[in-house]
Amino acid sequence: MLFNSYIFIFLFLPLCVTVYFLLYAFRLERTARIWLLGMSLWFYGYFNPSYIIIICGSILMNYVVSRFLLRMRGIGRAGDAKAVMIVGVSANIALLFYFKYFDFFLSNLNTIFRTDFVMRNIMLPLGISFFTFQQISYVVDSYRGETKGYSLLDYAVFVSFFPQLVAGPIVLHNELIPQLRKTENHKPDAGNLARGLYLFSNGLFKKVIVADTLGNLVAAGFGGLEILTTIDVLLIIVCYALQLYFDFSGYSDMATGIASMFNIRLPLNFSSPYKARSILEFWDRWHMTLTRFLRQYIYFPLGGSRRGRIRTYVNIMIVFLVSGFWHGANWTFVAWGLLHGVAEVLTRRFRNGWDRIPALLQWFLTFGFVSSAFLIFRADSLSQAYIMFRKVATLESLTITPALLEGLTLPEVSHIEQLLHIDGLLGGKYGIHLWVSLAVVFYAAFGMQNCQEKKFQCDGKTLFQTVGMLTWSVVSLSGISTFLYFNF
Amino acid sequence: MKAKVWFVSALGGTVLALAAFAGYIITIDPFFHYHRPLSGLAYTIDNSRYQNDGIVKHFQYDTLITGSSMTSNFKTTECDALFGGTSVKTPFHGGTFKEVNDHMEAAILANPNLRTVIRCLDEGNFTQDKDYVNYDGIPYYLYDRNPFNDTEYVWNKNVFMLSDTVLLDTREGRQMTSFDEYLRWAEQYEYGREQVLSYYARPGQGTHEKKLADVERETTLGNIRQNVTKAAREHPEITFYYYFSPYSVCYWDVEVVRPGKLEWYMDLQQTVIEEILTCDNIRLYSFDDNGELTCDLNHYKDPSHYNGEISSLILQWMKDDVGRLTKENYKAYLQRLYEFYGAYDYDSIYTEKEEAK
Repeated sequence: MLFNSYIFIFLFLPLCVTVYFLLYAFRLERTARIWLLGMSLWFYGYFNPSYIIIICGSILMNYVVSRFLLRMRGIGRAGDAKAVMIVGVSANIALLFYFKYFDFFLSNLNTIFRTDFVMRNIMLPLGISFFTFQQISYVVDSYRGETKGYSLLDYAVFVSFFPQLVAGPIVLHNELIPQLRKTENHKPDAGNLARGLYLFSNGLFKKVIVADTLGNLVAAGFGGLEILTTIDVLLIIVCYALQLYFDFSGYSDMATGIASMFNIRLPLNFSSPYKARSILEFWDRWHMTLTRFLRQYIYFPLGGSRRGRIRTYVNIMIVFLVSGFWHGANWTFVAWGLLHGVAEVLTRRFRNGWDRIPALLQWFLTFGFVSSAFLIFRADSLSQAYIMFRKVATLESLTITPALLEGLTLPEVSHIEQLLHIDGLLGGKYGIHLWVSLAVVFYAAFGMQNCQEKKFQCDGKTLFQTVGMLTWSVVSLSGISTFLYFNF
Repeated sequence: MKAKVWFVSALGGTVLALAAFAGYIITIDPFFHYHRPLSGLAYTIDNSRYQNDGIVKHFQYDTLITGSSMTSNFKTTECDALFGGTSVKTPFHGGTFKEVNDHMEAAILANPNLRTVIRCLDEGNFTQDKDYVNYDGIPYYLYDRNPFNDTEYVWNKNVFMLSDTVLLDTREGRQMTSFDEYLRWAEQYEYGREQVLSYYARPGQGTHEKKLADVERETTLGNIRQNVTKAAREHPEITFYYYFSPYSVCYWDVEVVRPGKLEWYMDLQQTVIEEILTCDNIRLYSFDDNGELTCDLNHYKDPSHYNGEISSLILQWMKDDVGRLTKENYKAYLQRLYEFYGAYDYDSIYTEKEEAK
């Protein structure tokens, strides 16, 4: 089920929150958690019922492994515990490999060795990367003795908690389970409900109105690659970077808002990342819970920065290689990860020089690099990305193709112009819609404070914003399809 | 402001705003999902997959004209004059047998006064799977009886804007789209040999004659039984005027004779005709054997689409029972087709240059 769907907004969410607190009000604590688990599984299984088997199997396996680990630590068998931990982590990676990378692996084998293994077309369960990493962290923490003896129900609710299940933030057990257990959190809190609704409407607006509109331009660009000009590609680079940010951070805002309605605080996942003035700072602001996971469970165990400069750089490259693979089974993601690794290493190596660059130039170079690298991330293949970069380098043409010129035009804006009889004045060949939309989105991304970081206040302004954004977003969830008939 | 007041106000405000939004759409109802058009308003009818369902469920009619783009140029005024009664036209450009039949069954279910159905049967769709539909994104939420998925309609800003347009057009003195005009494309194109030939490259001559395979025959029969004859069997009170869309001689060249499929095509037509003629309330027509029609490319914009005048003639012919296929005459008809299109000098259509293309 998507957050940005009618069934979620009008049925699932109100039902889930209301019954959850009602069950607690009747002191049915265990039933309330079972309810939350059941609803989370419905949320997940709504995409595809078979996903439920996969996630339940994964939860059970990791819970059993962690119980083993805790028991072994209890009887002083640290050596055996390490072996069990390795088996547990490997099983998680194997699950992820099978669903996410097996076909990619086979296709590369076929390319390199000229074999003809048949692709399995394995269905990728949504969010498997998120809940697998989450559970790896749990197994490792169990090995380290940092987990408590949670019940299977608590553990299952922690992993499957629907706000964070499909796209994060990647929450750790010690952040979520204590909050779920805390008695004060079992009563509805008007402040948290209000903040939750505010964050949810912000996130929904970011996703449905901002990101999806930017996505229209990007999709139009990628759909007509041959005719793109230099300016077109630059426009696509900027718009895709903004689309990705508003889409992903919008989702995180929605997740945080929904969790807030349950009196649960989720960790911040995006902190105005495009304001960063270096790659190091960017990764402290972008998908922060993934950065934290990679740091705690890969970078530090590899030795972090304690084993000399070269080893530090190697560790950084390993972390970004893993990050690249985690994002998807395609060489584009690997290349994107490695590029970021190289940029991080170079920034560390030449830190003093970088610090002497004017702040505005630092920001420009950082955003330029990040958004260009995202083009590789978005491309279907490295060769497609290469074609687009070549168009920039060769300065083929400085015009904007008409499809992109109107790419950021909201239909409601055109409609209002039509009603006011000013549709001929704006938009059109001058692309005023494009430039005004871009200016607004730039201001939101670079000038405004993240809505999660802003202190939320229950006042008329936030009330008006919430009602406006929620209504506008809800009526934008559906559209009217076009059925092209090519015989004409 | 207290958080509780804020929260209740935010929810209440959103509910009110959404209720007003939905109320506006339900009142105007540009896709006729809830009611027939409000009198005096200038509705634009131009979106078959969104509006046809509402038309057959809420308009007053006793004759339904439906099918693919081959039916778009029919004029309901001509139909009414010829057949009597009141007709509506609901074509689906690119519509398959499955899509058209589902729509027709919805009309039968919704309208007990329905007495006549006029529908084209595209020969190119005979061998499609019985459940094949050409497009993704068809708004089934408008077609079903589930009120909960109407959310996609009543909270849809695009529908809201269309409702606005209805009022705007009314204020500016425009009229509601007539069924004569609805999806009519006849006047938008040019016709003739040059136009028709520009749509395709002539394929090479097939080396051997293709036979209709058993699996193709079974698929075709499945398609015809589910999407053509089933409704007729279940509704003997309705008369179904079905006709094969008369494709041009170029279609016969490119799709039938040149690929070595003439016998295959004859066998296919025979299979379909024999199945359809088992229903007494289906009046089946074909004009494929009318060489003056199919060989005159001035009637066509591409190998298959004929102009508005032919649409008018088809109505007239069906009314006059011209071209009707019966159990008694269909074999002779097939023999005529076989001999005519088998012997036709297709090379005479092309110049040497066009042949080379």
